[in-house]
Order: sequence, then C-alpha cells, then structure tokens
Amino acid sequence: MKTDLIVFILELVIIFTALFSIIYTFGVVWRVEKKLDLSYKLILSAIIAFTLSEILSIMQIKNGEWLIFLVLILKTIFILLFLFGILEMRYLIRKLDGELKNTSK
Amino acid sequence: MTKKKSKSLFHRLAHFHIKMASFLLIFYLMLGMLIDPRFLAYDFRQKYFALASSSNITVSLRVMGEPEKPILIAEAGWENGVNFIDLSWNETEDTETYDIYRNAFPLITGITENSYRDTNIEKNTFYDYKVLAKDPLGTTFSDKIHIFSGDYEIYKEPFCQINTIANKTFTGTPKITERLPIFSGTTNIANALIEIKISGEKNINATTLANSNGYWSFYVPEKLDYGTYHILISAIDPENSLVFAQTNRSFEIIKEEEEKKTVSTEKPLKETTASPITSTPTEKNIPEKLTEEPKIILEKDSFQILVSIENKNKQLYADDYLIVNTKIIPSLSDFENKAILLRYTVLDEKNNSVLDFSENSLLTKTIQKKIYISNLVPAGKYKIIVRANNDNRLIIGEDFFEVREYYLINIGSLHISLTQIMQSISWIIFLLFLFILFFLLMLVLEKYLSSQARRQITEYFLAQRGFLGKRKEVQK
Repeated sequence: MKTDLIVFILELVIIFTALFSIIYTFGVVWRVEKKLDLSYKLILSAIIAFTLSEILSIMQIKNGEWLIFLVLILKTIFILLFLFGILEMRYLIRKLDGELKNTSK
Repeated sequence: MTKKKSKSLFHRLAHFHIKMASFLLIFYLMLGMLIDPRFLAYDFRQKYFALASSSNITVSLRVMGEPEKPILIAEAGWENGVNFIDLSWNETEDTETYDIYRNAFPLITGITENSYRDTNIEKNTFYDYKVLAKDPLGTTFSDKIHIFSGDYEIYKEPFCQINTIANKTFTGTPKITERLPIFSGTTNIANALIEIKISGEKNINATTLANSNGYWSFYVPEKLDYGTYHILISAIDPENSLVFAQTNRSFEIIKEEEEKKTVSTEKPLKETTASPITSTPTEKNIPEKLTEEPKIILEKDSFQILVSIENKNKQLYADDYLIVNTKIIPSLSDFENKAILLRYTVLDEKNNSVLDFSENSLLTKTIQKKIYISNLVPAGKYKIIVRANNDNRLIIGEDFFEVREYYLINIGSLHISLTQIMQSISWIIFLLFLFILFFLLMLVLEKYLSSQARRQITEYFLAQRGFLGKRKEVQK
C-alpha cells in the first residue's frame, strides 16, 4: 500500500515536472537563435517524447501490446533527440572555447 | 512602429485568449451540471427531510437509506488453548444483517449479532477485517482494521459448520419456504473442497470450494420439492484428503401458509464431526493410526463433478473465453465413450443467471469447454455451475471466477476504469480544462517574457548605434 502511494506520487511528480520543463524549454527556444536554438529545440522534442511516453505508460488498453511498443519507441526517440541536443550544445561550447576555430561549421 | 503593432497584436491575442478561456470554463461547468445531475449537487441530494409549512402542517419524513457505517473494534486473545480475534461493532441503523470480510474475502455472512469471534487464525499473522452492514436498500462497509494475531501456540481441530440456510441463521431444524435455498458456512480448512450431499424428495450431490478464509456458500440451482431433507457437508483439505471435517443438518421446505403455524424445535441431527488432526494439515502432523482411511467414509462410489477454471487466477476480462475443466469422478470406466448431458450455468453474485446452456458431451477424463464471456457481462464475481443427472440424482460441480474491468489509467494505487471516467465526466472535463488553461497561461507568460527580452536587446543595440538615444526607457 505504501509502495503504491509512493509510485502514485512519483508518477505525478514526473508528469508535472516534465510539463514544466516543456514550458521553460519553449521559453529558451523563443529567446535564442542558431546553434543554441537548435540544441534546445532537440532537447524540447526529447522532453515532449518523454512526457508522452510517461502519460501513455499509465494508460492500459485491452490487447494493448502496441501501446507498450509505442512507449518504447517514444523513449528511444527521447534518448536519441536528447543525445543530439547535448552534442549540439557540446559543439557550441567547444567553439566558444576556441577548440574548433577552423572548422567549416 | 512595427514593434508597437506586434506588441498590441500580442496583447490583443492574450486578451482574446483569456476571454475565450473564461467563456469555455463557464460553458463546460454548466455543461457538466446539465449532463451529470450529481455534479456539485451531491450534498443537497443527501438531505432527506421534507417540510411542508403551509396550512400549519409540518411533515418531517425520514427516508430509509443505506445502512449506517459500522465502527469496528478488534482484539486478539488466547483462551483455553484457542487463539482468537474478537470483533465487535456498533448496532447500525437501517441494517438487517452483517457480513464479515477478512483479507478482502468473505469470512461469514448473514449474521445478525454485532460481534464475532474468529478462531480460524494462524499465529504471528496480520489480518485485515471489514464489516459490511446490509439492508435491502444498500450496503455500507466499516473502515478496515488491521490486527496481529499474536504468537500463542494454536491447536486447531478441523471443523465445518453451516451458518445460514436460505440466508437465515437457525436453531434446530429450520423450516424454510425458499425452494432454491442458499447454504453458507465456514470451515477452518483454507480453500477446502466442499462436498455437499442433499437427500430427501430430491437428491443432489455437489462440490464447491471454500475461499482462503474457509467461507463457502452453495446455491441450489433447481427447485426442491416440499418435504424434509438431510444435508451432509464435508470439508476436505485440497492437499491432504485425510484432513477433513463433516457436519450435517436436517431442514424442511414448507409452503408459505404453513410457515406461520410452525416453530422449529428440533435439534440438529448430529454434531460436527472432524478428523482429529492438528493445526497444519500436512502429512507430518497426521498421527500414525490415522494414515488408514478415516471411519467416516464418504460415498466413494458416488458420481461427482469437479469443476475448475483454467484462466489465470480465475480472472478474465469481458470479451474473452472462460476455460472450464469438468472432471467426472470416480473412475470413468463404466461411462467412457458414453454421452452425457451437461448443463452449464453462469450466475452473478445475486444468483441471477447470466448464461445457461446444455451440451451433450462424450465422457472423457476431463471435459474442457471454452465459454465466451461477452462485452455485455459487467465486471464482478461469478460462479459457473455444471450439472448432470445420474440415476435420479442431480450432480453439481461449481467454481468461481471474476470478470475484471480494464483500467484505463493505472498509477500506483489509483485505478480508474472507463466506467468511472464516464460517471464523473463533468469533473474530469473541468479539471482537464483547468490544467490545460494553466499550461497555456504558463506558455503565454514565457512567450511574453522572451519577446520582452528580445525587444530590450534590440533596443539596446539600436541605442548603442544612436537610433534610440533620446528614449528614457532605453537609457535606463
């Protein structure tokens, strides 16, 4: 019973914080441009995919094996987009640090 | 100029959004009130006093309602070698009988007293108890009580008893008018196989199962003729058939006119008999002399039907198949390859028939039948009865199963089914709408802050180049 309650609270915390993350990431995307903008757009898409997967994972549908599959796909999309976002940010920081001065990018 | 335009456009959009949001909020609130009359008006519906004050007459009317909620108290103890948990509760209004549930399963049903001593317990174990107050207008559960049984040594002799016949407790030989009586009782053998033998004007052999609390009930599916009957109940440990208990009782079915004239005075024909075996019914606990067949012999040559549900945990969802295995015992050598007419009946908790059909089956060791449970069957607990006639004796076997409803949402302990969603659709629309509104407002705020920031940056650079130098805001 206690575990159930903890699970319930944690699920709510995950969904609500994910929604807040979407809002504030939107705020950053609207403020910045170019590389930083692209990086945050990727992270925003990743967060949206993650939120959708979390919402879908609390749903149960009869013969809903496809739902489990969909959640898995969304989680994969999340991690891929998140990785690309981080890589983009890494590239930007390296450029700012002067590591990548002469690259075509 | 352009900036001013965009600012005013944004403001106009924000205003329009707030107006639309307020309108939609009020609209959905009103819609919710219209669609679901219970919406926001539940408390008013609970009032049950009517007043008529015109012409100096005041009428105060109290409508019979659901039973009052019982307040349950439990206490564990030990007395004369018996460990027990005493349960007691207040006498509640609008109540006819009480049922006691232990660990979510019935322990005893149909009692009229407001106390009960549970002696069928294990040591060092936690139990959850709930009392259900019942009357024809509804039922009310008490709060759950969680109690530890204690670590006293327990000596437990198998017992079996009949608690109610036709939903009534009784003394002596009960005289009943119901021709389709329900028998219920308890045994201290968990999940016992209950063999029921009714003899009299009509003969019935039946098998059913007790639950984990040892509670069992049996519904006679075919009308009994008027007359005197004798019922023999045997509770047999499913893991060791040498551990068993028996009890018997006579009862009479009389016509309704006769009911008023008669008063039952007879005593039970025989007290409960039990195999003298200690608490845990395992081979180790059986004394050597009892490894032989016990003296109370069941009619082993009698024809019996054992029914078992094969679905996992005896649970299934609607729109699925119920897999029923019917085993005919004893040996089939005499009957093999002969056809037998088996009648399958599915009954709900109130013993209303949900499905009923007959089928000729060739006798094999186990007859497997797949029964389709349609979408129209509501969630709940059901039992399946399989019956056959053999030499003027009705043979019955039954088992229980549960039709579950799919939960649309499942978060930890919160399970919400589609029916529950539909029942409070207005609240859900309202809350969802509030949530979306909050989400959109936060987005709008974020958009506003970012455009403000961009405007300030632009103005800063313009001011640096001397285009906006005279403006006070920018200088700041």
